[in-house]
Amino acid sequence: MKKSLLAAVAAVCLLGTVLALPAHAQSGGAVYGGVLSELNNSGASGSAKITVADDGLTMTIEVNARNLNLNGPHAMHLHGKVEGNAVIASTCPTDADDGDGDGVLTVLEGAPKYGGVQVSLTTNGDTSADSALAVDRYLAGQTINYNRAGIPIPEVLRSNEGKLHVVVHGIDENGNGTLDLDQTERSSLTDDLPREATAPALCGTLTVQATGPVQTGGGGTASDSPFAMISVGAGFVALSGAAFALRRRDDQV
Amino acid sequence: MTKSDQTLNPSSATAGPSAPSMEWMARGQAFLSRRQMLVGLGLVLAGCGSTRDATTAVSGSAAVQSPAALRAESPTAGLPVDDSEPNVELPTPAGPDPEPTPEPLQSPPATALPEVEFPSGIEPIRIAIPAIAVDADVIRLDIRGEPEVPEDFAQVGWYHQTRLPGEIGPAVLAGHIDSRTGPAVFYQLDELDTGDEIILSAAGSETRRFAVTDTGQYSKDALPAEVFGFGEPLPELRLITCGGTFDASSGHYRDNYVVYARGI
Repeated sequence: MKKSLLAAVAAVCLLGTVLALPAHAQSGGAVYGGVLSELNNSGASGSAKITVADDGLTMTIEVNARNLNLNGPHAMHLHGKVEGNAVIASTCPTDADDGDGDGVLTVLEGAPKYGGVQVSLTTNGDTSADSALAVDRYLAGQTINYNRAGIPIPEVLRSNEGKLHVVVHGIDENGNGTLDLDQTERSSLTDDLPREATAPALCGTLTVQATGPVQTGGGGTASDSPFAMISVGAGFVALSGAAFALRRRDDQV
Repeated sequence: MTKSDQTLNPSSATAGPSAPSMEWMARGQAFLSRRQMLVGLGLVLAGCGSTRDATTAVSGSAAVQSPAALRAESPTAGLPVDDSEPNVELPTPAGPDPEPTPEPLQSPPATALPEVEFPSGIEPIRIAIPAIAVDADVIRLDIRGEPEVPEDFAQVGWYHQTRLPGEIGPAVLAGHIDSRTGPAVFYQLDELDTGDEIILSAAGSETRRFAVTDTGQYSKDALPAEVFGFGEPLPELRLITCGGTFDASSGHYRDNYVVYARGI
C-alpha cells in the first residue's frame, strides 16, 4: 500500500470528522453481536461481538469464522454507511447484489449495502480504514479466531456501533483453496490483489445485546404476587392519564 | 455518495446498460493511475468524504499506465501462491513511490456504483397502539448489560443503541405490564393481534407506522437472539414487557413477552 495515498484519504476523513463535530453520547459497556452469513458461496459461518470499553472510546472485537474456503489471508473490517456525522442503518448485501452479473460479488459491489470500511480488524498496528488492504496484518486460514482489545472507536461511530457490519473478505473461486495471486480478475479495490483476496466471504449485521432480562413488571396484577392484594382498580386509578381498558388476564389474575 | 455521484462520466461506460458500473470500474483502471483509483475508491470505501468532496472533478488528464505495468511493481508480486502456510507475509515495497504525485480527490470512479437509499428513522417521544388504547410518552433508555426499564409505569422506553424506529433493523422498546399496585402501560400487550398498528411519533410530529407480525413469550433465563438480533433487512419494531407467572421470591415475572412488528 502506498502510505502517501492512504494519508491523503485519512486526511479527508479527518477533515470530515472535524468539520462535522459529532456530539454523540458514549455507550461504554454496551455489547453488540451478530451472526455472520456466507457470501459468494464461501461455505463459511461465524459470529462477531463488540464490547465497548467503559470509557466508550475503545472496543474489544471478537470474530470467529470457520469453513472458509480460502486458506489464505482474510481482510476483515467493520463496514458502515456514514453520511456526515450520522451512521445510516443498512444491511449486508446478498449474492444478488452482483452488479455486473459475473457470478462474484466483489467488495465494491457490496459497498452500497454495507457501506465503507470504518475499522480494519488487523492483528497489530493501525486499525483505521487506512489499513483496509494491509493484507499482511490480517489473520489467515480457513478458521479465524480474532480477539483484539483497545481498538479505537472513531468518533462518528460511538453509540452507533450497532449499525455496523462485520465483513470477512477472501474467497476461493477456482477450488484450489489458495490465494491465486495471478488471477486474471483483479480486486475491485486494487490491481495489486486478485479478486479472490477482497471479495466478501462472510457478512453480519450487529445489534446491541442484552445480557439480562427486561424487568418490566411489579406484580401488582399477578395472582401469585404478594402485591396483588392491593386492588387492581386502585392501581388503575393511580395511573391517571393513561387510558386502559381493564381486562383480566387469565394467566395472571 | 448520493444520486448525483452516478452522473459522473457515464459515457465511458461501454458495457451494456444492465451492468455499467463494474465494467466502468474495470476500464477505469486502465486509464487512471493506481494512486488515483485508490484515492477515489478509498473515499467511497472509507465512507467519509462528503458528496461534494468526492465529486469535485473527474480528471481527463490522468496518467495512463497499463494494468500490466502496475502489476509489475505490485508489492504482492513475490507472494508464494500455493504455500500451505496460511499466514502470508506481504513484503512492504521499499523506496519512494515512483508514480507522479496526483492531484488529490480527482477521479472518483467508484461513484458510478448504484446508490442504495435506506429508510430514515425518528427518535420517538410518543407511542400509540389504538387496539389496546395505549397513548404514552417514550423515553430514551440504555442497554449496558441488563436493559434499563422506565421508572414511570405509564411510560415506554426506547433503547437508544437499537435502531431508530423506521430504520433498517430492529428498534426495541420496553414498558411495564404492571406496577406493584396495578396495571401499567403494556398491561394488554398480549392482546395484540397480527396487523394491529403501532405508531411512533417524533418531537416534530413525524411518525413511523408498524403492524404486528408475531409475538413470543420467553423465559427470562434465556432470551433468544431474535429478541435483540437482526432479523429481516426491513424496519422492525419489538415491544417488550413481562409475562408468565410472578416469582414472589425474586419480585419479578418469570418471562418476557415480545411483540414483533414491521414498518408499513
